[in-house]
This record gives sequence, C-alpha cells and structure tokens, in this order.
Amino acid sequence: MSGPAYDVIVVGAGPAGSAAALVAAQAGSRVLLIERGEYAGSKNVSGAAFYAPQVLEALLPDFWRSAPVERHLIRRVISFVSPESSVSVDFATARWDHPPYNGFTVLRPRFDRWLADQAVAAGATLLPETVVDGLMRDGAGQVVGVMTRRPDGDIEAGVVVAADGVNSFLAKEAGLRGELRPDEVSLGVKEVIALDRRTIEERFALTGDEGATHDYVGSITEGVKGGGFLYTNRESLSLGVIVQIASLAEHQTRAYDLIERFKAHPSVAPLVRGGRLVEYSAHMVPEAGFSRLSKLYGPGILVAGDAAGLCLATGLYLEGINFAIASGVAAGETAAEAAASGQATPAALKAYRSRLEQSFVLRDFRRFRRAPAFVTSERFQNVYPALVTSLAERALASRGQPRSKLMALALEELRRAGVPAWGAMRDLWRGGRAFGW
Amino acid sequence: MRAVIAWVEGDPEIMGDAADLAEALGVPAWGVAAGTDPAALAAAGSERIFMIDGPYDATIHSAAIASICVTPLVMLLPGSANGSDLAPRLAARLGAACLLDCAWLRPAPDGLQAARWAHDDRALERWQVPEGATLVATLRPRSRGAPRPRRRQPRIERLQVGGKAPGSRLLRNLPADPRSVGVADADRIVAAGLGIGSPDLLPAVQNLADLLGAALGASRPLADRGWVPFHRQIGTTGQQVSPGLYVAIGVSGATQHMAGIGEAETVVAINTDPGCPMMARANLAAVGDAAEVVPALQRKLRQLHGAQA
Amino acid sequence: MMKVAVLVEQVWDPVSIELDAVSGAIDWSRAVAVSGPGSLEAVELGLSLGDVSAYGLGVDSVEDLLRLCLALGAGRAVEAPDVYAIAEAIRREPLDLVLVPNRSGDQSASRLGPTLAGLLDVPQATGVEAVRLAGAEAVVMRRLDHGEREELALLMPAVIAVEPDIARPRVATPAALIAAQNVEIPALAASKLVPRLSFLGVEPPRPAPPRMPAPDAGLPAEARMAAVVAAAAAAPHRELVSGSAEEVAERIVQVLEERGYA
Ligand SMILES: Cc1cc2nc3c(=O)[nH]c(=O)nc-3n(C[C@H](O)[C@H](O)[C@H](O)COP(=O)(O)OP(=O)(O)OC[C@H]3O[C@@H](n4cnc5c(N)ncnc54)[C@H](O)[C@@H]3O)c2cc1C
Ligand SMILES: Cc1cc2nc3c(=O)[nH]c(=O)nc-3n(C[C@H](O)[C@H](O)[C@H](O)COP(=O)(O)OP(=O)(O)OC[C@H]3O[C@@H](n4cnc5c(N)ncnc54)[C@H](O)[C@@H]3O)c2cc1C
Ligand SMILES: Nc1ncnc2c1ncn2[C@@H]1O[C@H](COP(=O)(O)O)[C@@H](O)[C@H]1O
Repeated sequence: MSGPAYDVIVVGAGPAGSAAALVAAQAGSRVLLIERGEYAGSKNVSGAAFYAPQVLEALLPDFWRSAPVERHLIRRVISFVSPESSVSVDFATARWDHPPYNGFTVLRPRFDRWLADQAVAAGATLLPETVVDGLMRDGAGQVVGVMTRRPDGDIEAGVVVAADGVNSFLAKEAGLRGELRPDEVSLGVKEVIALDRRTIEERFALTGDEGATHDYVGSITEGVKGGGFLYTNRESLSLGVIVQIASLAEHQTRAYDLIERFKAHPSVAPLVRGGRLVEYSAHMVPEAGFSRLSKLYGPGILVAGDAAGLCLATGLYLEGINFAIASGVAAGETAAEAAASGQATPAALKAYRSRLEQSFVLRDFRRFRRAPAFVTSERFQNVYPALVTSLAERALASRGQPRSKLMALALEELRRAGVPAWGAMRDLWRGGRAFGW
Repeated sequence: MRAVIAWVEGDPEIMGDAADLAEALGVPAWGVAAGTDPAALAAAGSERIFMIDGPYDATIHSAAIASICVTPLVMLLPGSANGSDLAPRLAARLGAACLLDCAWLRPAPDGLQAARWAHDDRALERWQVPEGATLVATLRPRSRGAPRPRRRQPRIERLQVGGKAPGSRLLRNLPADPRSVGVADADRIVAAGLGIGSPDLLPAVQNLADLLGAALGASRPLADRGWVPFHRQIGTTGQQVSPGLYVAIGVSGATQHMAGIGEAETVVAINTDPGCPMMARANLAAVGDAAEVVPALQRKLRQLHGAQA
Repeated sequence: MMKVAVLVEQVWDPVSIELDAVSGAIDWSRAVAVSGPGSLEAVELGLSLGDVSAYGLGVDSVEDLLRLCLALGAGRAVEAPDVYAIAEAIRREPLDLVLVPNRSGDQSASRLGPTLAGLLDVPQATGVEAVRLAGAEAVVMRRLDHGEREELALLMPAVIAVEPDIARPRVATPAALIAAQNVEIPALAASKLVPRLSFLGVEPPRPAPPRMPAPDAGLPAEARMAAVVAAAAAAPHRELVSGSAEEVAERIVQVLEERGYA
C-alpha cells in the first residue's frame, strides 16, 4: 500500500460538502464523502430559499432542469410589522421568470440528497450513517485522516474538508475556531405547512412554478432579536423565525411560541390558513458575520460552509446555501490540487482563501459585515418597525380630517418613539453602509 | 364459498365471527376446537365440530385442518400467538390468500371484502377476495365481543392427525413473570394514576400488583413525571392493553387513557370521586382514598395467601 | 459450518404514514422506508450460527438493506419480489435454518415465517426470543400470549421467526460498507403461486361495531326474553361500594375471589 486510500475526505454531505466532493471528484481525486445522517439531507432543516444559484449553474449547467427545486423566485417581499399592521416592500420582476433564474425554493432533504448523488455520479464514494468522531494527525500535527464511530473506523486521506455544519466539531478540534458565543448564533425554527398548489398560487399571486419569499422584521419576534420568513414551495409553505439565542434567553421566550405567534399575526395568518403542519425542526445558524469567520484552513484541513461561519444572516433574510456551495467548490478545487501535488501544507491550502477572496463569498461577507450588528440593533428590531407602520397608518388612514404631510408625521413618530432625529439619521447612515454601499 | 371454519383455541369469540359471516354468505359454519369445550362452539353457532387433541403444533394442526377443508372456503383464526402462527402456514398449504389482523370481513358483489389493521392502526386496508378464492384470516381478538347465542346440534368428530409427525417437541412451559411482563402482554394489570398523590405510594401499589400476579401500569402523568418507566404507560400514546383484570387506582379515566384499556374484562376502580369516567366504566367502583385502601388490600391479600399456603 | 438463510424486510416506518382524515388517502410522498424490526437482528443471529445468505423483500428498494447485510458479513444477498419466490429459490439449497423477522413494520405479527415454513413443509416457530442448537435440533424459547413462554425443540431444517431483541446487530466497518456498494445484487423472478387478492385502498380506522346480542328467532318467546336479559347482564355491570377503607378492601377482595383473580 502506498499512501492513503483517499485523496480527499469530505465530512458532511450538506451543500458545502457535496459541492466540495463533486468538484474534487471531477478533478480526478479519489473522494470519500462521509455523512452521519441516513442519507444526505436527512438531518437538514427542510424548506429554504436558494439565492444566487449561479454558483451551481457553473458546475452543473441547467441543473434546475433535473434538480428537485420547488419554485423559482420572482417576488421578494420585506415587511416591517407591528402587532396589528405591516408595511411591505414588494419587489416582483418578470426578469427573474426565465433562465438564468435568480433563486429557487428547495426542500432540503430532497435537494441535498440530489446534490450528493451528483457527487457520487462524478465518482465520489458516499458513506452515510457514519459519524466522524475525530481527526487523525501525524507527529507534526498534520491532519492525515478522520476517525469514524465504527469498528476499524480510521480512514486516511491526503486532505480533509470539514463541511460539518454550524457546530463544526472538526474545525474546533483542528484549532481553527473556538466555541461560538450565544450572541453569535441564532436559533432557526422552521415549519413546513402543506397547502394545495392552487391555493398557494392564488394567495401569493403566482402562476406555474413561480415562487415568492417573504421576510418579516419587527413585532413578529416580540422584542426578541431576529426575524421571520415565509417561502412558497410547490405544495407547501416553509415558514419560521430566526432569533438570537442570547436575546431569546433574555426574554425568557421559547422559540416555539414565537413561531405560533408569527403564524397568528394578521399579515401571516391569511397566507397559512387551512394548511396542515407536516414538519417542524430547529437548527442553529451562525450569525456572526465577517468578523467571526473561522480560520479557513490548517495543515491537511479545509473548512467550508456553516462550519467556517460562512452564513450571512442579515436579519432580513438568511443566505447560507449559496455560500456553502461556493466555498465547497473552492475547497474541493484546492483539496484536489493539494492532494495531486502531495502537498497539503498550509502554504498549498492557502489557495483556498484566495479563491474565496476572488469569489462573491468573501466579498459579500466584507460588504455586509456591518449588517448583522445593524439588523440586530434594538432600534432596527423593535423601534423602527412600529414607527414605520404607525407612520403609514397615519398617512394613509382616512378619518375625514385634514392629513399631515409625511415628513411632519415622521418627525412626530420619531419623537413619540423617543428616537432623536439625529439618531435616526445615524441609523439611516448605518443601514446604508450595511446594505447600500 | 362452501363453508366458513373457525379455529378456536379458548375464547369462542372467533366462532361467533365465523357464524355471522357464514350466515351472511349462506354457507355452513364449522369449528375446529383446539382444546376448547365443544359446547361453547355449539352455542356460538358451529354446525360441525372437529376436535384436535394434544398441545398446539403448527405442523400437526395445519395438516389436520387441511384434510377437512372443502375449498373454496374462509378460515378464521384469532390473532393470538398460536392463531398468527398457524394462519399463514395453513394458507400456504391450501394455496390460499392470507390476511392477518383483520377488523372485519363481509360479503361483497364479487366475492368477499376484508379490512385489516395496518400502519400501526393508523389505517384500515381494504382487500377484495375474488370469487372462488380461499382466504385464511386472523381477526383481532377481544374486539367484537361474545358470540350471539345460536342453538345448534352439531356433529362432533375427532380430527385424525394421521401420518404427520409433529414439527416440534414441547420441552417446558413457563408461566408469565408479572414483574418482567410488559403491560401489553399482561393478563392482569394494576394501574396507578395521579390519585396516588406521590411516588411514595408506588412501592405499595407494586406490592399489590405482585400479590395479584399483575403487571404495573400507569397513566401518562406518572410516566411524564418519571415515576414509572414510559413503557408502563397505558393509553393512546402508551400501551394498548386488553387484560382480564384491570385495577385502576386514582386514575380518572380520560378518553386517551380509556382508549388504551380496550376490552378489559373486569375493571376495579379505586377513586375518591364516584362520578369520574373510570368509576363509570368499572365493574366494581370502590370509593375510597388510595392511601388507605391500598394498604388495607395488601393486608387482606396477604392474609388470603397465608390461609391458602 | 451451518447454512443459514435470513429474510430481511424493508417496511414503511409507521410514524411516517399520514392519513388524510377526510379522504383517508395516505400521503405516499412522505412515507419513509426503513429496515423492519428484527431484520438486522436476524442477520446477526445468523452470523453467529453459520454462513448467511440474505434474501430481501418489502416496500421500496431493499438494495441498500441487502448491501448492509453484505457489509455485516452475509456471504450472498438476493432481492426477492415475494416470499413464494424465496421458497422456490431456497427449496433447492442445502439449508439448516431459515431466520425470519417475527414482526411486520408496525410490530404486528408477520406472515413471512409461517408462510415460508408451510411452503417448504418444514417445522416452524414464531415469536422466538432465544435460539440454541442441540445436535440436529434447534431449541427455541417462544413467546405466547399474556407473557407466557414455551421452550420447543425443532428438527432442522426449520423456519424460525425471531423477535427484535434476539441479538444486537454488529456495526459494519467503513471498508466493508464501501466494498458492498459495488456488488451486483441478483433479483429473483416473481412467483406464479402468489394467491390472488386485490388491494382496494386504505381508509381511516373504523373498527367493526361490537356484536349486538339479538336473541335467536327460533326460540320460544320466554326463552327470547331470557336471552335478552342474559345478554344485558353480560354487559359490564357496575357496583358501587363505599365505607371505611377496610370495608371497601373487603368487598374488592371478594369480587376478585369470585372472578378467580385472588
Ligand atoms: C431555519 C433555517 C432556515 C434557513 N434558511 C435558509 C435559506 O432560506 N436560504 C439559505 O441560503 N440558507 C438558509 N439557511 C442556512 C443554511 O441552511 C446553511 O447555511 C447551509 O445548510 C450550510 O450548509 P453546510 O453544508 O455548510 O452545512 P449543513 O447543511 O449543516 O450540512 C452539514 C452536514 O454535515 C453532517 N455532519 C455534521 N457533523 C458530522 C460528523 N461529525 N460526521 C459526519 N457528518 C456530519 C450533517 O449531518 C449535515 O448533513 C437556513 C438555516 C436555518 C437553520
Ligand atoms: C394527546 C394526548 C395524549 C394523551 N395520552 C394519554 C395516554 O396515553 N395515557 C394516559 O393515561 N393519559 C394520556 N393523556 C392525558 C389524559 O388526558 C389525562 O390527563 C390523564 O390520563 C390523567 O391522568 P390521571 O387519571 O392519572 O390524573 P387525573 O385526571 O388528575 O386523575 C386523578 C384521579 O385520582 C382521583 N383521586 C384523587 N385523590 C385520590 C385519592 N386520595 N385516592 C384515590 N383517588 C384519588 C381523582 O378523583 C381523579 O379521578 C393524553 C393527553 C393528550 C392531550
Ligand atoms: N409507494 C406507494 N405508493 C402508493 N401505494 C402504495 C405504495 N406502497 C404501498 N402502496 C399500496 O399499499 C398496498 C399494500 O402494500 P403492501 O402491504 O406493501 O403490499 C399496495 O398494494 C399498494 O397499493
């Protein structure tokens, strides 16, 4: 026997891991993809919006023709809600209604399974129902394989890609990151609600396979920092709340109660009425943004996807699948090259970071680095949504009395909310920096 | 169809099912008495009775029954351990279809329809038995009640076991050990509810169960509080039981609990509230404080055992 | 070395079966196939006794389950469309023992074991909790109703339907799992002997109503009256007892004695 049995071992068959395995196998590496679930995706929270599918399009042209995607997104709605009312920004465009599409809704168990199957089709070997328990290292501390929770379970490899999700035990064991603080992770609670196709299309003004995403900020989370979302699948809705764990504890609220109240909110209830709950799940989301990314590589190991903290939770929406795939691609390319050259040293693996720098992944992270703090700020979470809805109500209500002009109303609302005008200006500036420029 | 035959091991309930179905089909009902009093089969409507002696053996019973079968026919067995053991073997011998765990069978335009419990009782599966086909089915025991009395003067024959050697040798019989038996299997159950007040009374309740040779059961709140292991919980979200004796101590009898006690033959309830549903269901509704009645019962049963010993 | 055939079954996980309350239709898109209770345990028992050939049947595809059997140490794995086809295939083989799961997917009695034993015309035991070999016989502990058990000696070859706790399946090594992924799994042809029966569909649970005891019309009037009264008396008859704890306990013991429970 000369050398390890595999060039590359990828741990975790989520979007990051399957993409890495696919790319490395395409590059000719002998790849083993290890997943603890019964099948890829079986452990994943179902129902999600897959933004920026271009990352996958580059790997698998026209993937959406055969992939189990639910609907392509043509509408995005962002709502600011107070207990009784809401103000929404509703963006719909026909430009997203044909290829190349701008995003899809997917059901994760199906989508992840399909993506792992693509890796297998490209030549990777998938080993499901197998938990990786630790890293194998040589005397110099170089990672040379993984230990699985099975008899004779040690498996050697040239390079290990840790794509084991938000709690990444491998990145921690490799010393690439520490424990996340409670204010750096959020809890996502999601439900899938079955509803027939016709009803979905009527309620959301969609035709055919068109889909919509709704994101909510404000009283939906009852003062707990976070937001709510509602996505349309073919014959179901995915909805849920994403809330900061520290804030949840502070308000002594259970996430489950939040999702119940979310569904009962007057702007959500009519959309979900009559549906049947078919799935409930909860999962962590890294929400730390650029400042808390893990070190992306070490001797013999690369970290991709949520494991590296590459999930962008702006509070308005949550993007992780696209970053996971893009980082998986970069990790797969780098791992294949390193394995082929027999050099899995940090110097060789450094190419991973440069690839990410060049791709939209780290650019977006840098660009939106202020977004999490801004979106989870007290005012953005609780004060402005109430203010905006109240403002809208006063501006639009017909009471048979003379109405004030918008700016006067706005200043009055700010006063009532106890926000000085200069504070609002500063927030506007910060919001602009977080999202606009 | 030429006949409906019941294989009766103990409870004549299944003979009643065979007689009902035979009447609906207009064919005779016969009974095979496997260690059952033929008089019970006659009273339940059997027009011919075949007796098999000796302990149950699948090889012997299937061969012997096959020898009297006039196909096409319907053969009904109880869904007991031996009934479920025999039915598929007999079906294989007869080239017949086999449906286990049926809820009902009834005549249909082109033959016979049957419904069987499926997917952990989430659904009934409906099956069509074509005209001219033979069916062997088991029915869930203790779910349809005692047979309607019918007066028959059946011919009683002894079934010849013939050249077939038994497939197995019985080495020994082991009685149930009530402490290790799960409630679902127990013929006697002593169940405790929140009325016992605190887990302190549980050892006394367990001792009472031991004295009666019964298994310990409980309502859900006790399992939720960890006072008893979950597998002892009785009800829709716990075990479904159908014991001969059910002693309910401080159990109110919520519908979710009652749904689990099926056709319990004798229900004794001990409760301070004579109006609660469990007391209404009980054969003997005993009004009293569990903390007092249980020790009194322990004393009396010990005396009784002492007197017998 | 003993030759053992083991039947493994892929079943619907009952908790994944959801019925529409109105139409009674099952949402098959949400049904999940899993290995049946006792299947892998039977394989484990088989491996401890001798060489194992695994035969797989059931809902969905059993291929993955059969590959797992190979990874666990089975020498051969064959996919089968029905138990009759398995009987036809193994009739030609020199076998000492056939192990079969005793329960179907929802833990109710399975018909596989006795059907196979009947087709092969060999001894059988169902509900088996323990097996040991004694010369040409297999000695089994068989579970009966209400917690009773019996010990039986069966002349081999025999079919033994085992309970799920008969053994603890071993865990396959990664190398064995990966090797099993590339094995060709042969499939048997469907048997022509499968009895005719047509599936009409499922419906929400509606058990048969309990029998209403109506008197035999052939009886004279007074006998019919007596029958009605007797039937009414057979329905649970409630007796209320109160008083001191001693008095209440006394009456309870009496009733238990009358009914043969004390
Ligand atoms: C409620 C919620 C809603 C979300 N909505 C969206 C959305 O709409 N759009 C979006 O883009 N993103 C969304 N996200 C984020 C997105 O789910 C993640 O960013 C994405 O799944 C990350 O992919 P990954 O491959 O890095 O990790 P994961 O998808 O978490 O995959 C990790 C895999 O590794 C396996 N694994 C872990 N440890 C081990 C081990 N020791 N051995 C073997 N296998 C192991 C796991 O079983 C899992 O399959 C959402 C997240 C949540 C919680
Ligand atoms: C979806 C769902 C599923 C459920 N599934 C189950 C299930 O599977 N099994 C189950 O058991 N429950 C189940 N429940 C719970 C069920 O509804 C009842 O809450 C439960 O059965 C009540 O238990 P209990 O009778 O012990 O307590 P209680 O209802 O509190 O009754 C206590 C009884 O003790 C009596 N009592 C009080 N003091 C004394 C005393 N000193 N001496 C004697 N008697 C006394 C009272 O009069 C009362 O009748 C379920 C509930 C739900 C919502
Ligand atoms: N995947 C499925 N889709 C639709 N119907 C099914 C499916 N699986 C089982 N059934 C039905 O359920 C019946 C009973 O299944 P079985 O008990 O496996 O024979 C079958 O005859 C099918 O009609």
